Amino acid sequence: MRPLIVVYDEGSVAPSEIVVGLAELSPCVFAMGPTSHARSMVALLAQFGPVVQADPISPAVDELRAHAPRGIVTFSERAIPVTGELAQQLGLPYNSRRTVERLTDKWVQRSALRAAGVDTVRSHRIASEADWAPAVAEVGLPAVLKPANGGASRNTYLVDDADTGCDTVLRLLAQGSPGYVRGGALVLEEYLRGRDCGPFGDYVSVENLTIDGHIADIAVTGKLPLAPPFRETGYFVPAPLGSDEEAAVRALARDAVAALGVSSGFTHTEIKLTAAGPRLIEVNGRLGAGVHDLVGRAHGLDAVTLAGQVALGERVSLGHPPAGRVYFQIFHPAPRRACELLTVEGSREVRGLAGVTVHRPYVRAGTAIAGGVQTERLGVVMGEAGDTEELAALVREVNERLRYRFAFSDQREPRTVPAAELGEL
Amino acid sequence: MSDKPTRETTVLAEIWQDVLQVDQVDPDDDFYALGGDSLQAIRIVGAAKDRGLPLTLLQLFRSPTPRGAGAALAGALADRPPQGLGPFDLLAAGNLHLVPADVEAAYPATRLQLGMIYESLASEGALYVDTVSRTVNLPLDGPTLATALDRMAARHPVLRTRFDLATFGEPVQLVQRAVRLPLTVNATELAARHDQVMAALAEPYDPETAPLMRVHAAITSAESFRLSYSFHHAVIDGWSESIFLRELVTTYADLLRGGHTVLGTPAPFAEFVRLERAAQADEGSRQHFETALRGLPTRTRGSRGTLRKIADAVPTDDAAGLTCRGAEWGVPMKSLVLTACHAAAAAVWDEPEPVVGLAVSGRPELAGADLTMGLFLNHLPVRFEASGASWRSAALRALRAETELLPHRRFPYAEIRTLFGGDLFEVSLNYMRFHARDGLLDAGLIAADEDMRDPTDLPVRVEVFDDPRGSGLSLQVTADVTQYGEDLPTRLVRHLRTAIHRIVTEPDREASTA
Repeated sequence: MRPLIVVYDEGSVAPSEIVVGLAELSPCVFAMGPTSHARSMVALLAQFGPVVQADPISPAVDELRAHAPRGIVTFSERAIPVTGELAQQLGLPYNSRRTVERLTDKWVQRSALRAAGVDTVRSHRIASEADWAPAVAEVGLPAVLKPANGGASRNTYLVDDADTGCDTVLRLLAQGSPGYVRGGALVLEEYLRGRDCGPFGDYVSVENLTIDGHIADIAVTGKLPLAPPFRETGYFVPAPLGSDEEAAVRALARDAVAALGVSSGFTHTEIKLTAAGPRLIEVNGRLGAGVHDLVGRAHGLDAVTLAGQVALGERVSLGHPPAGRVYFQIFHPAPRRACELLTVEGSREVRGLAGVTVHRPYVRAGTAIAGGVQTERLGVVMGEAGDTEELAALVREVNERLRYRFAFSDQREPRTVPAAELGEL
Repeated sequence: MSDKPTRETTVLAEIWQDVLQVDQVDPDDDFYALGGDSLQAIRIVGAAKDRGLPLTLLQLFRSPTPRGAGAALAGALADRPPQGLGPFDLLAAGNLHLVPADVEAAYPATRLQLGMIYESLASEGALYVDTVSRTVNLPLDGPTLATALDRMAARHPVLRTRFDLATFGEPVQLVQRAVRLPLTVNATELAARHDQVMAALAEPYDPETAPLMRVHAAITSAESFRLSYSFHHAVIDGWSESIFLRELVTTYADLLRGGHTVLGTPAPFAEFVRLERAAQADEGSRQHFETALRGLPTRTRGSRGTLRKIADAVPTDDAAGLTCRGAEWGVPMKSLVLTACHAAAAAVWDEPEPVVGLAVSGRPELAGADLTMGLFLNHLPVRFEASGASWRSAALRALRAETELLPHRRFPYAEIRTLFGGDLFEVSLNYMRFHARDGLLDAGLIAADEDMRDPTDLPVRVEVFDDPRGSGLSLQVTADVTQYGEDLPTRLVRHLRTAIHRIVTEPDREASTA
C-alpha cells in the first residue's frame, strides 16, 4: 500500500499517539523537522516506517517521491509551512500556499479575516522599533504582544503601558526569532476582555475537521483560567456554554476557517468569550494540544486516525458525541523564574480522588527549570467528572493537594506551594 | 483492579522498574506517570523480547500499564496457533513404535543442537561442554540440594533429554520420564581442588545418554558453598543457565527454610523445535539472507588452534555514559554494543563493512517461554555500512539491521553456511544481560563472582556482560591465536574499549576507533 507522509516535529500529538492512530490505517513515511526534539524521535519513528529529513526541501521531495506517497499530514504547528511546501511539490492534497501563510502568520491571518468580515480585532505588525508607535496608535492599550509565527504562548505578553511594551519589543526582536521563524516579526493585537466565566477560563477552542471544503465540528473545548500572562492550566469537554453562545462560537469558527480558505484537515480555533459575544483569538492549522486525548475519551474518536483518513482522501465517520460526562486535563504550569523542582507531594492522594484517573508528572524531582512565559508544564492530571460543577470542585481539590517544592536561584530558602498558586510564580 | 497479576504483568513490572529506574512498579502504574517516554518504551520492548515476551511498541502505547500491556500480550498470544503439540507430534510418521518405554516425549533435534553435538564429538568433547562455578551464600546440605535438583529435573524436560542419532532415520531427542541429576558433594574440606573439580565436571558427554548435566557442591564455610556444574551446550544456553541457577537456588533456599517455592509453568521446548523447522522451510527468510549477504567471501573452518581469552571491565563512567546514550537515542544497549563491535572489527581487520555474527535468541513467543530451559541461541551474520557515519548514526543503522533480522531470527545459521558454502563471519558477538541473576544477587543468595568456561568453535568471540547489579559492564574476547596472532585478543579489546568510550564522549564524530 502506498504510504502516508507524516511531517514530524514538536507538536500537539505525541509520537506514540501518532503511531497508534495510524497503525491500522496506512504505512507511513516520516519526514522529520530540523529541531533537536525531532532528531531525538528518529529512533522511535524508524521502528514504524522510513525516516527522511524534511529539510532541505528538494532532496526531501526526491526521497519522498520515491515512496509514491498517497497523502501528507502534520500534527505540528512548526511543521505546517514545510508540509505545505512538500505537498505542493509532490502534488498531494493539502491547504494551498496562500492558506498556509494565513494559518501560520497571525498578522496575515487577521488581515484575511478582516477582509472577509469575519472579525475585526485590531492588529498591527511590528518588524522594527519604528513600528511600535503606529501600532499602539492603531490598536490601543492594553494589548497583546506576540510573535507573528509562534505557538504554545511562547513570548506572548499583555502590554499595559507603552514604555514597557517598547522595551519588550526591542528585547524580543533582538532574539532574532521570537517565534518559529528566524527574523520573524511580532504583532500587537487588541486585548479582548473576557466575560465573567466563574471558575473557568474566559475562552474556548473549536476543533474543526474540513473534508473536501466541507467543515465539520469535532468538539468545543472549555478551558481552566489562564495563569498570567497567557499560560494555559487545563482543558475539558464539553465547554460550559449556553446553547446560543455555543451556536455563535461554532459559527464564528466555521466562518473563520472558511475565510482562510482551508480545504482539508484539522483546525484549532481559539475564541474569547466577551460580554459582547465570542471574538476570535486565532486559528491554527492543526489539531489542538490535548484534543487527541479529550476527543478520544469523550467521543471515542481517534483524531489522529481521522486526520490520516482525510489526508488520504478516505471516508470518515464522525459518529455522534455522547452527552453527559465532562472529561478534563488539569495542567500545572512551570514557574516563570529559573528554579529547581525539589519534590512533588500528594500524587498518591490526588490519584485516589474519585474522578481522577491519572497524574503524569512531566518534570522529575531534581530537574532544573529554565523559566519563561511559554506554556511549560510540570505535569497533568486527567480524569472525568459528572458535570461542570463537579469539575470545578475537583479542580480545587487537585490543586490544593498537589504541592510542589522549588529551590529558586534568587532565593535562599526553598519554597513549597500548592498547585493552585503555581500561576503566581 | 485487585486481580492477582499474571506472570507477564509481573515480568513487565520488573522491566519497567529497571528501565525507568524507579523503586517500585505496581501492576496499574501508568508508564507516563512514572516518567516514561517514547525512547524508554523502545528499551522496554527490547528487554521484554529478551525475556520471551513479544511485546510490541503499539501494545505498550495502547495499554501503558504492566497489567494492560500484559493483558494485550496474553490476548495476542491466545490468538496464535494453539500450543497443544502432542508429545510425539513432530516425529516422522511411522516412527512412534521406535520410542522406548521410558520416554515421555520425542521430537527431532534442532539444527542448532546438531551443530553443537557434531562439533563436540569431533573435538572429542573439548567443545560445547560448559562448566560454571559460583558461591552460594547458604549452608550446604547435600540431601536438600539433591531434592532441589530432583525438582529441577522434574520441571525441565531438557534436564532429562538425550539424543538418538541413528535409530529414527533423523536425529531425535528423547525426554526420559525419570532422570536424576548426578550430584557429588564435598562436605568435609574446602574447595581447594577447584580446578580439579572443574576438570572432572568438564569430562566429555555422550549425547545419547541422559542427563547431559552433572553437579558438584563443595563447602567453603559454615554459611556458604561452591556450586559448580557442567552441561552439554546442545541442551542449555546462557539465558537458560541463568534460569536454572535462579530456580535451583531459590528452591534450595526455600527447602532449607521449610518453605515451598511456587514457580510458573515453562512453555514446552518442543514448540521451538516446530518454529525452527518452520523457519528453515521459510522461503522469505532464505531470500532475505541470500540478498543481504550476497557477494560476501566465505571462509572454511580450518583445524582449531590455541584459544586465548582476555577479560576486561568497561570503566564505570563509560558504562553509565553508554546507558545515557541509549536512552537519549532510543537505541537498546545491545545495538550500541553491536555498533562498538562493528567498529572494532572494522579497525582490526581493516574492513569498512565487516560482518558480525550476532547471537540472537529464538525463544518462542508463548506464555511461559521465559521460563523454558533449552538451546535457543542462533548466530546470524549482520552487515551494515557505517564508514563515514557518526557514532549516533552508526548506532541507528545497527538498530535497523537488528530490526530487519528479527523476523528471520530462527533461520538456523547452519542453513546459511550450507547456502553459501562456508562461514560468513569471523567475529561473533553475544550481548548478555541475565536478569534472572539479579534477584539472587539482590537477595544476597549468591556472590557476584563466577567462573564460567564454555569452549566453542567460534574463531573470535566477543562477549559483553551487562551486569549492573554485579560486576558492571565487562568484555571478554576469546580468539584462536594460532590463526589470528597472539596479540589479536588484546587489540580487539582495546578497540572495543575505544569504541565504547567514543560513543559516549564523541557521539557526533565519525564512528571509527582509529
